Amino acid sequence: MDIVVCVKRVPLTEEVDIIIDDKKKEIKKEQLAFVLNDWDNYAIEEAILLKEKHGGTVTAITVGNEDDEEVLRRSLAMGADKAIRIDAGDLSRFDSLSISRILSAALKDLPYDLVFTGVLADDDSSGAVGIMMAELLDLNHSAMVTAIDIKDEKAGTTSELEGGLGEVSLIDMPALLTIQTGINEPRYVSILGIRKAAKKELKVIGLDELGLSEEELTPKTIIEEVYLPPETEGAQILSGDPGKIASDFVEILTRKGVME
Amino acid sequence: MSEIFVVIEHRLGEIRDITYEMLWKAGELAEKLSYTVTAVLLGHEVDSIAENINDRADKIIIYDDERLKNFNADIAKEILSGLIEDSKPEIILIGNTSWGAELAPSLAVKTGFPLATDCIDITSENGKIIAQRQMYSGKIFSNVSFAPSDGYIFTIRSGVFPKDKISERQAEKIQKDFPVPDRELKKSFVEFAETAAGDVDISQAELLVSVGRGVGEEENISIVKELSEALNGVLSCSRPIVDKNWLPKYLQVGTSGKSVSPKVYVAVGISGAFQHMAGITGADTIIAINKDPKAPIFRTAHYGIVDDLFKIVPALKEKVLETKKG
Amino acid sequence: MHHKIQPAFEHYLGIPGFVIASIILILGLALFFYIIYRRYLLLKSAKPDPRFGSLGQRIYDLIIYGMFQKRQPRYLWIGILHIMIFWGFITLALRSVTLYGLGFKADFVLPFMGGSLGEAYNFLKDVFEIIVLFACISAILRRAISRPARYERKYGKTHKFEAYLVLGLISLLMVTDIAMDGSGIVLGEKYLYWLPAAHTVSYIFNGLAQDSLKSIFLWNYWIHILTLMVFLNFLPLGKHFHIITGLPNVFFRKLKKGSIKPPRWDIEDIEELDSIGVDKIEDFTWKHILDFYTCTECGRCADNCPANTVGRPLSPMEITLKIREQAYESVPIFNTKKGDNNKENNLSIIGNIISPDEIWSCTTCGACEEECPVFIEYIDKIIDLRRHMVESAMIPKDFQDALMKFEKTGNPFGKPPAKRADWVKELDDISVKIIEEGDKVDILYFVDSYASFDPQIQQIAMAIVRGLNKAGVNFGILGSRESDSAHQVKRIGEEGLFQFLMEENMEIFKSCSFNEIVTTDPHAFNALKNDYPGHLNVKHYTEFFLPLIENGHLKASRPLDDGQKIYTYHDPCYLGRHNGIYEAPRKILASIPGINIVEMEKNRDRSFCCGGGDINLWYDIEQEEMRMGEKRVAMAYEAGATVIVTACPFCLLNFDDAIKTSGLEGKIEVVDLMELFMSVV
Repeated sequence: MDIVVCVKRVPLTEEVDIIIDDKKKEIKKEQLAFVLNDWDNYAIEEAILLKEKHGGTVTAITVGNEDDEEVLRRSLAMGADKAIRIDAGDLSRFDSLSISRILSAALKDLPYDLVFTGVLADDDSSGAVGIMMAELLDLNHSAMVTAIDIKDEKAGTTSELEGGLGEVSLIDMPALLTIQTGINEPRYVSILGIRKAAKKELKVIGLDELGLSEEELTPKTIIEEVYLPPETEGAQILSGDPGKIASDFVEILTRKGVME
Repeated sequence: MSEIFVVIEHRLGEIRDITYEMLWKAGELAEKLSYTVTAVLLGHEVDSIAENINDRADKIIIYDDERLKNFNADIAKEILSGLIEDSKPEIILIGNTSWGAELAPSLAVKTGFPLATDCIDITSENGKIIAQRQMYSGKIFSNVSFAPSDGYIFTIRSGVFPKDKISERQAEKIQKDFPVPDRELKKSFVEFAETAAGDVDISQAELLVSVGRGVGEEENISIVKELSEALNGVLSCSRPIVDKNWLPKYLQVGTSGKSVSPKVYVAVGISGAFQHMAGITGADTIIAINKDPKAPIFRTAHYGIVDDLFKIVPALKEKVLETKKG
Repeated sequence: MHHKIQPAFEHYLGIPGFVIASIILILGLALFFYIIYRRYLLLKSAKPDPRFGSLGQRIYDLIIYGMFQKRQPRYLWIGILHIMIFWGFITLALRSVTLYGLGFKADFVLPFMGGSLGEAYNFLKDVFEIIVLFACISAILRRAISRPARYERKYGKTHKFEAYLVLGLISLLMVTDIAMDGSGIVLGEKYLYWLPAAHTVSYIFNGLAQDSLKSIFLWNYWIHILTLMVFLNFLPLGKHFHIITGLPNVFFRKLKKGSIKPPRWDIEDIEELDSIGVDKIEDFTWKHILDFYTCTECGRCADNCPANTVGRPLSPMEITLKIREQAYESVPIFNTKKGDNNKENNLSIIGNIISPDEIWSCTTCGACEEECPVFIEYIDKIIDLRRHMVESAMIPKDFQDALMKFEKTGNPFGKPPAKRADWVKELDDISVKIIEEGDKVDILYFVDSYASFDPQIQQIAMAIVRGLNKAGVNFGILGSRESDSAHQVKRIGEEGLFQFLMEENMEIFKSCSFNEIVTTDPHAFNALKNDYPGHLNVKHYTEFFLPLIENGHLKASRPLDDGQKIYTYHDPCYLGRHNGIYEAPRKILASIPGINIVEMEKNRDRSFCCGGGDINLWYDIEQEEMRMGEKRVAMAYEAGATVIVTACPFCLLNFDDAIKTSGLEGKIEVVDLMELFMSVV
């Protein structure tokens, strides 16, 4: 069973104060640390688990520059067999559709039973690349997958719906699945493990090798401006020493009638 | 005059709230741009559902297909692209839900229309349509414009727009049945699966004390639990807590968890990601506790405490216990 | 001296004594060497370990801890009993050889033992036989009546029968020799000195017929010889192997406290290794295997282990015994199993013999290693097992998050490095120098992550800065270029990440110049001193400030306005046990005029771990009755203290939590030593 997993390197923004870049189309990234997109981490782990169970290969692929190879090496350290980086220069000129076309072109000649993407990437949060690729490659698809069960050449998938509901489906392979967080517990890879993975195959393909036309690569959505959230009225902040805050807190609850 | 398509999302015979929210926005846009609102209902033997939105759209296109007895994104995409070619709407609204997020991208590729996902607003200035959305877990807002196209597809975030009627309309029902390419179901529906019910139903609770990622480690959940116990409330949580297996799924609040409507919702160490906030739109009063003054939750909460939860939550608990004793 | 009866030349069923003696000796020794060889096989297949350096120190330690049994009296009465038995053994060794000699040669004596030396020895030997007999009987009674809890096993079977058996055998050896001498005296043997045991027994034998006396003499002789040979062969089979391996184990002890062994002593570049850490028994070094052989099952380690005390799965003795049992099974003395008996040797330790939680329970406090009378090591083994678990992804998810943050941001909080020195802004009266490339300072103050980001610990850093400033020290901090010392990372077993962070720091150190490094916290101090290469000149703030205080550059001049609080000092593991710094903090504390100080019962090298600064902050082991911090706070409270003084940020945080969770708020508080001191400067 051969699985291709699309991965992305995104900035770690959890504890950080985000600063808007001067051109106002992106955030300043020089001081930020970068990690493998959380959803993609789950996707790679799921692919490895399926490989461990059913045999086959796992290939990790990303569109990016040399720094982005880090997430490919991490994927290799987790257990992927090969990795591919598509060097496409400055990525800010592309949108989800362009990236989908690039990845789909790269996958065209690869053998696979399943293609995984994360549901979305933590930076742009578009969540479109996976399904766009499925359409471009004419693949069956399931989205927001929280469980996969391979039986008799078919993939049984559970998709996460709202309200704690799940939808179980059966899908023919080859298929594309977008993977949701929580599907598994991604394994830890040590620094040593990553260094050792450097011995595994990491191929670099230039964008021009994929034979895409200028028109195909032209983005259809354009970021006009990014900005920090407006300072809205928002919450009424309780202030003072802990004693005062606690009293105010109790008062609010009392007014709402929930203190007994 | 151009149309605005609103794809009706329905499940198990019920129209989902996102549909009403989209119809409101569609109505607003229609008024501004002098367009009409067309609701699109795809399914099998679902005519009766259309009754619920008779007064919210100018037109309801119903397309019945046996293959849509259960939602199937692939078939829906094929049918919709045919309907779009037929009616040539300029704006197409789809819910940014599990189903909508599976449908919209493939529809965009098939029609060639630009797609903006998870939009929190759509505006039109001088003929240019701009979608407003968020990036970086809600820390950044962005305005997105589009390459010129005959149509534009948007997926709309739940809970952003009101569910009210923006104006009275009278829908004209149209049954469409032009043949769609004989396409087999490549994905077959098996069943719905409910998450385990668990001991407690948070959607019925009056007072919820919810714990989020800010709690740091599993053992610290007890600090928040003690507050909820002191208040005779119910403990709930956000998604990361469940992802880490610290609490069971039936305590999760948010789009992929439960929607709750308590009188008071105390959010401890929760940043306010939209998927979580979408689950508490029904809450009467939201009190947020977070050490980051810029946490998105403070935009939506009614009251806020900017402090380290490890310091303030025990203090709150003490005061609550003290008050209840006296 | 002349014996009336020569066992060598008596005949037993027609066979002369010396033949029987030869048979016993040859068969016995052959069996013994075979058994030793089987035990040696495992040592041979184990990993290298350089233990022959610093010979002078090793010989000295052998004398102090081996011959003088310095650690035994830590458990006073049984310690004294053991010393009696030990010195008895040493003294009686000559006697054993002489007795064997008598099996071959008439009136055999060892060289030099002919004249007055021999007579003196006979007296000494006799007295020791009484002492040893007394000690053995006391030990037997003690085991049977008071049943010390530390001899019990948490997992697996005890070897109490073996203990009784050996004590019994030793007693038998004593009794037979005394009886032999006693009967010999009645038969006419002459001694220069009055032998208390032999002569007393001789009075009992007085009046017996010659034949009976001869019988008694010979029976006791041969029983003694046989028992000795049985005893010798029995030793390597159980916990009394320590009688043979104990002194070597002390000689080969770990000299560099506080350090962690490299993954492999013989291969420096860890990338060349296929795997790091210990998965199977043969991945241990030969010294560690020797450790397994040497455990006496005394339980002193487990008795002092804080994890064991609070009910965590870990008991150090169990680690040793479980692995030893597996080792004995995998290389048995007699190969009674069919087929490949190496199969047992290929068993992974984690999951089959030891559970992951046992290994994660350890706080690396070092109490076990401090107690063990035969210097068995634990920390290196546990870290080696952790290394394997890390590489095999058998690591709790909470550690993954923390390690990822270490890697990406150089601190466990995930906070941006640019903000690492933000805390200095709160010191509006003092401007702290941020060391740039090429700068030169006298003292590099290594702040480390907790002091940089945790608001409570920032207070300690500020107190240190105030102290440095007041004493006129030329110092600077590295600011955003500093990475965590990675002490915790190394002890989780993430060796690659430790090296990465360590190399980053070393680069920064090389880019500027300084005379000394001073650290906020004992963990960073231990890391820079014992984990980092290059023999960095580093001190913990207590050691650094003490001379300044003693010379008057920093003086506690204001009165302590505390309403008569009672202070007790808690020894942090990485300042105290691992680095031997006990007095400097106490002197600083005592220099505060009018301060009331009490000592806890468990102080200095018996200090009880606060719960740990390492992994224990990120992973909660279930099955605890009371957390370590709570236990220690209770100890302070029992000692009559109302304030616990700490010199380590993790102790401070753990005790702060513990005071709240054990409901002692208002009754006891915790304060950092530097903060306390600076408050009265």
